[in-house]
Amino acid sequence: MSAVLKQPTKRFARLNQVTSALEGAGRRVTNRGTAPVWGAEVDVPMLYATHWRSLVRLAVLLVDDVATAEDVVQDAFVALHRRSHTLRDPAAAVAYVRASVVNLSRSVVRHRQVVRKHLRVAEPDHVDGADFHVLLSAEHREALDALRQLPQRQQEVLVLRFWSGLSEAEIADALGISPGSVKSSASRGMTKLAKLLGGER
Amino acid sequence: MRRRDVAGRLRESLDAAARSAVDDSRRPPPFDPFRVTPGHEPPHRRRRAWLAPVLAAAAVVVVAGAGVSAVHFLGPDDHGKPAAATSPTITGSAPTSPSASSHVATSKPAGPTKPVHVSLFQGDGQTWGVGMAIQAQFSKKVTDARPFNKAVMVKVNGQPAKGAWFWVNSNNGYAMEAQYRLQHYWPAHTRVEMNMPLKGVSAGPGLAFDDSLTLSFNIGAAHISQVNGANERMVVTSDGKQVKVLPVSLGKAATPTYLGTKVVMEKKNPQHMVSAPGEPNPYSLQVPWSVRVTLDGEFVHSASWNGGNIGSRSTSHGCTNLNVNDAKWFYGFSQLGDVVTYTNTQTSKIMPSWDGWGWWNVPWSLWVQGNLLKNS
Repeated sequence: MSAVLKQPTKRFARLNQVTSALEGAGRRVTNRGTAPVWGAEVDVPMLYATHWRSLVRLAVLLVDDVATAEDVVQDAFVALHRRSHTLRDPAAAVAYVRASVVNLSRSVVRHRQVVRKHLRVAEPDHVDGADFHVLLSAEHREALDALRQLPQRQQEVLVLRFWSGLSEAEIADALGISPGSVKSSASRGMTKLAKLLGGER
Repeated sequence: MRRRDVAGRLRESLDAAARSAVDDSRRPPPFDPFRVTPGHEPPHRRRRAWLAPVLAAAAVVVVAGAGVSAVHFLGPDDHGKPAAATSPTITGSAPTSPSASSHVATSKPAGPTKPVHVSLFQGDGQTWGVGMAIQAQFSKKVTDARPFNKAVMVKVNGQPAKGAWFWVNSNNGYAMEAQYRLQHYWPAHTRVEMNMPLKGVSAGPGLAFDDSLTLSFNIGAAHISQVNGANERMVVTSDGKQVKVLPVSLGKAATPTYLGTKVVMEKKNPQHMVSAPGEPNPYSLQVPWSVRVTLDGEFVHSASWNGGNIGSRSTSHGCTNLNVNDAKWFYGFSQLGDVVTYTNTQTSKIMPSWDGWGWWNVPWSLWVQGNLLKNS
């Protein structure tokens, strides 16, 4: 017994040193091992202010309707806010909220499809739900209509690829699928799009 | 059509669609962390689903009162809306519609509020060292610090103090804690009084404090000890005068002592110390004259077994080893809240602010901002 004594909990704290000197408070807890590690805080209002517009645009490309897109983004930020205390890497917050936007948009689209399927009175086949479409040139509208004919997954991949400008790895993260699926979805989507758009020319 | 052309065209069309839907001048509505689209709530919030129709009705009244076409704005326009109804001019004004209805629906001045109970760590009449912070504990997470800051008044010897609250997660089972300190240590030999007339004050949307408190305690002599690993010495001062220079042995390189400013949290005689799990040479000892300075277990204590190294080498597991008589004296000298600073230890790591009473390790410029909540 040469040396000097520390409480057992020291070791955990050493492991936890990734955290900065800025986080939660504490005292009188003897078991450091179970104490949570707080990541540097995520500044949700700041993220909201800086990323709101681009995220609403992303959502609108997926759900086709501005009001719904805004709701989706609001919900995504509420989810982020709820978890901001447990999110370890603030740099990942944008990716997190973007993934939420894609997921929530998908739920909205699916919900809409289910509602349509169960409506007693048949609606017209395609309703131009997106008010902003009115302002678009025929050429752009044609491209978007073609995109809408793809399966949901392929639409998501193409929007993230060509509008958000994400890499394959980032898309894989956002959608929770493998990079291979991203590649094949993108490839199939592009082939179909080329056929749809090219056929009319 | 070649793929590259398709990609280019898709990119252009997506961009045009995105910009036409949400143009660059569009500003986000104020962020409300509690507004969730009905149906998207997490399960525990769904119980309040009845609120939505009530608020929507209120929104109708307000919007209609404002002379705006409420029916158009509030109708379910997700699907089935005839495209012809939305002319480009209406589209131009459409940006305000979803946010207008949602904004009205989110301001909930009349809604029931949930209580936030405040308690204090300190008690009236106690005496603390100059490094102490006032510690408030909350039963529920506060989401807006500004009403709290406005209501709470701290005075030193009757003069308003210019300190700030720092909002942190609790690891004592509270929902949240806040700590109040000045830019520098408290002035010695003073009386600190705090008035917290918080009952009914907002703690954020839908939250209000449910109790009012006062606190009055004393600040004792300014005990500041400087431990220097370079010469293994601890210089103990009281009210600016050097009282003693004690030889020490700090943590060895494998288990170094944190740098930074620590505050005396606890005194125990003896203190039961156990080795960390997995320690190569496990120990379990009752150590007399132990003064705790970090939560994870750094002490200033007597180390009768380490006499040969005290004053010359850093050999401990992170604690500050003193000779028995010195430790006994320091134990008697110390009051909770005293300050011990560490320089030139075997690490570059500073004691984290959450590892006990590490609040002096947060720079003042960051402290005043408030951490988890913004102070202003």
